[in-house]
Amino acid sequence: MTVFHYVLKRSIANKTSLLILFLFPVVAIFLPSGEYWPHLPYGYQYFGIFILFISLKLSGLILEDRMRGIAKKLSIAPISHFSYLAQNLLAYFLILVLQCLILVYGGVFFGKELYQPFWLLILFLTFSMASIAFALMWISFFRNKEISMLIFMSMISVIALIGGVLIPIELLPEVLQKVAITLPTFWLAWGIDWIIFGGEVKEFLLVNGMLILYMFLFLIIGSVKKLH
Amino acid sequence: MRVYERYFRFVIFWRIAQLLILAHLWLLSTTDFEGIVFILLLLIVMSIRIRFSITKWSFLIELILCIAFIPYFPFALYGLAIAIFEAAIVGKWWLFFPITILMIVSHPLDLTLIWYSFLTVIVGNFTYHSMKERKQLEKTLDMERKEKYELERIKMELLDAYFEVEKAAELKERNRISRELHDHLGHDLTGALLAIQAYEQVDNEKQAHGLLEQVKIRLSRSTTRLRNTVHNLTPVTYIGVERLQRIVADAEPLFVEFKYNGNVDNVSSQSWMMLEACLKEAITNVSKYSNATKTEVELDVTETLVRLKIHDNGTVTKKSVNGSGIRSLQLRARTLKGSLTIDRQNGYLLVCVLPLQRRRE
Amino acid sequence: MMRVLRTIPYTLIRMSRDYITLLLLLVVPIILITIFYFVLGDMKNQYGDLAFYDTAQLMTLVFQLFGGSIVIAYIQDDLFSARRQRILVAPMSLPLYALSISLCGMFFSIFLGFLLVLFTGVGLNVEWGNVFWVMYIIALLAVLSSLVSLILIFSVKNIKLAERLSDVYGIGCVVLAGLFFPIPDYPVITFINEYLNPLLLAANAISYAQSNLFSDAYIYMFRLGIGIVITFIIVYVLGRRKI
Repeated sequence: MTVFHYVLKRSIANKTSLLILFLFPVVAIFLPSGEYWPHLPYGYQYFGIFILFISLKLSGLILEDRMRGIAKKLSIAPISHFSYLAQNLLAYFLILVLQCLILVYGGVFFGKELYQPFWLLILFLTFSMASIAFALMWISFFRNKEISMLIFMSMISVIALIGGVLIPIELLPEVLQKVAITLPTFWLAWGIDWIIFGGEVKEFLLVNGMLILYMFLFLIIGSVKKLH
Repeated sequence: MRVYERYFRFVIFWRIAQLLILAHLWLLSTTDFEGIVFILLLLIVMSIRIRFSITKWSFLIELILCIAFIPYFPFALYGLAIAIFEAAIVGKWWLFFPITILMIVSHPLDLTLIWYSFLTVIVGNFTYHSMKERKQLEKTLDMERKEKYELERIKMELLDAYFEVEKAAELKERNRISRELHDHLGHDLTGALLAIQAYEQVDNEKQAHGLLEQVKIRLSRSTTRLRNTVHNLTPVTYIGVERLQRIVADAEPLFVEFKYNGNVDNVSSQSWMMLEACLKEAITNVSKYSNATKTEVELDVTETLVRLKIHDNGTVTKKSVNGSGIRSLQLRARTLKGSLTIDRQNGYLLVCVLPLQRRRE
Repeated sequence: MMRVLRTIPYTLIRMSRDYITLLLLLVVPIILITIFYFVLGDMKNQYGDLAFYDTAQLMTLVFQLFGGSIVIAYIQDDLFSARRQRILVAPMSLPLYALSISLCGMFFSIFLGFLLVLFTGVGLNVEWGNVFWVMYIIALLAVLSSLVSLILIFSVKNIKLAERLSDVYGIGCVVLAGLFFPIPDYPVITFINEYLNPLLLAANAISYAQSNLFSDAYIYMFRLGIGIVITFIIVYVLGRRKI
């Protein structure tokens, strides 16, 4: 687990990263609630986008490894590609787990109305997995960290708009509503709705199942071994 | 890179196109999320298939998926085309028939669907055969490449053997000379010397005369032997620079000027043969194709390389490709780690540069 | 002087070939505004105008806030890292060259703003009022953002940090303007939005001019202008020290 160890250390090595990683969930707890929509406080509603950004920022480490030729050195080191990836992703996931814990149970501690905090946590965790896998796939398309981040930003702003995070999905035109279903954020929004309004357990399982399916898809595509 | 890579690319393209068709149908349909679950599952199977090599029978996964989703998403029938395609590109095109029957049975007759799956099976089968052929071709290519390397190796071994033979011949010749000198010449000369010394000591006139007679015989025999030995040593053919001079002299109707400088003894016999071949080829070419009046041949030998330059003042600048003679010479030059270049810009210019190989110890 | 002038076409060509910037500052806003066009449809705001007009105007202005990133990128590349040594040995005045890239960056940002106004005005029928006034306000906003970015790049040593801070400036203005979520009415925040937040200053200047309340529009315009003067003085002082 050496890689795991060092990835963890690198992720929180400088103060800015540490601040971004752990200050935001704390700030997000105290963001106000909306009047009609969203039903959860804004910090919770927007947390999905934050998770997407953080996963890309974290998996930037892998891209950095590829850019700086460390991936090449690793490929002749006695460590398999699978183990390298798994340890990296595990470390990112651990960081995201911590953030979700801070956000959800911090909210509970400060008396925010979260309806079903435990299920919310579970939802955020599955979404984190899907989003890390997505970030892994995303960086496999790029050779440059900055460019990958910038294009990601432009894509996320569109996804956030039509994926049901920034505005309720019912407001979108018919076609966009259908397109939105293909985006992982749609399922996050659906999951949040389930947590607020309740419903059959089957539905919640479907939401999480879909997120996990997305995770598998992104992982399979993203785990290609790339030596630039 | 694999030769049939672009077939893989085509296959991936086709798979994505099929999924896009499904996605389009889903967009048109009234189905909600079931369609996207279905497409996502197909996408996962597809990406697994692209990333890892899985069993030939994996098209059954798609088949089962499609059949399972038909109640929820009617257009899953169109997904069956994916199963047909996956079966066809592993050579199981007959799957088209049961699936088509299934399509006809489970649905009011939809000609577009039948046409679509027919198209798919044709494309899939064609791809399968092209890929198979490509793989076969690649195998042949690999074999040929392997044989080529083998030949190259044998050629290098032959060159090495040539060196060995040359060395062995030299040693043999040296042995012959030393044996000849030792057995006959040495023997007779020693005898003559002893006879002369004895002659000085002897007082008897008749005896002394006999000894002198003997010395005379021995010396005359030695002279003959020496002549014979030396005669045997001299090669009948000319080698080295004399050979080149002779070639130049033989090219009589042409006016060829031959100069050389440097220590020509350092040039190995292979190089001489190569240079000779070059000179012959060049002179043949000049006499055949050129309108030159004067040809200069220069041979420079330095510490590390030997350079032969043949230059005529012809004006024929016909853009001709190098003939097979020149090409084979170039190949030979390359095996000797040298080079041979032709330039027709300003008369016909042939330059052959060969490295001087250090004699192997 | 002439030599610096001669670099300007090349600077502009470089900027127009920077596809990532074009994607972020032109394509993305166009997509977002179009989506809003479909989402908001015929919805009316409290004054009876189409709610989409306000959104489109605000979005156009929001992306001007990020125009400063162009200036940051070019100043960083040409004066502080990749091409610094080459520019230093070039036979031209360094401060003038810095000025020329900054002006080009501002011009480019204004041009992108113009394209957005054109797209929303012609393509989506957004009422902008007097186009010259709108362009004037957009130009002021772009200049202010670029100046803020210049302050950041001259005062912060780490380029990464400067870029992040310029993002914070942009996003901060957006958040304070209450676009992401309603901002509580603390007096401090109201004060900032009324006097300091360039986004709202520009938006107000445009919307008051639209309803012909030019005295109010001028007030907001002057506040923007004062911001530019102050930031320009800071940039001048910092820049003289740094270049």
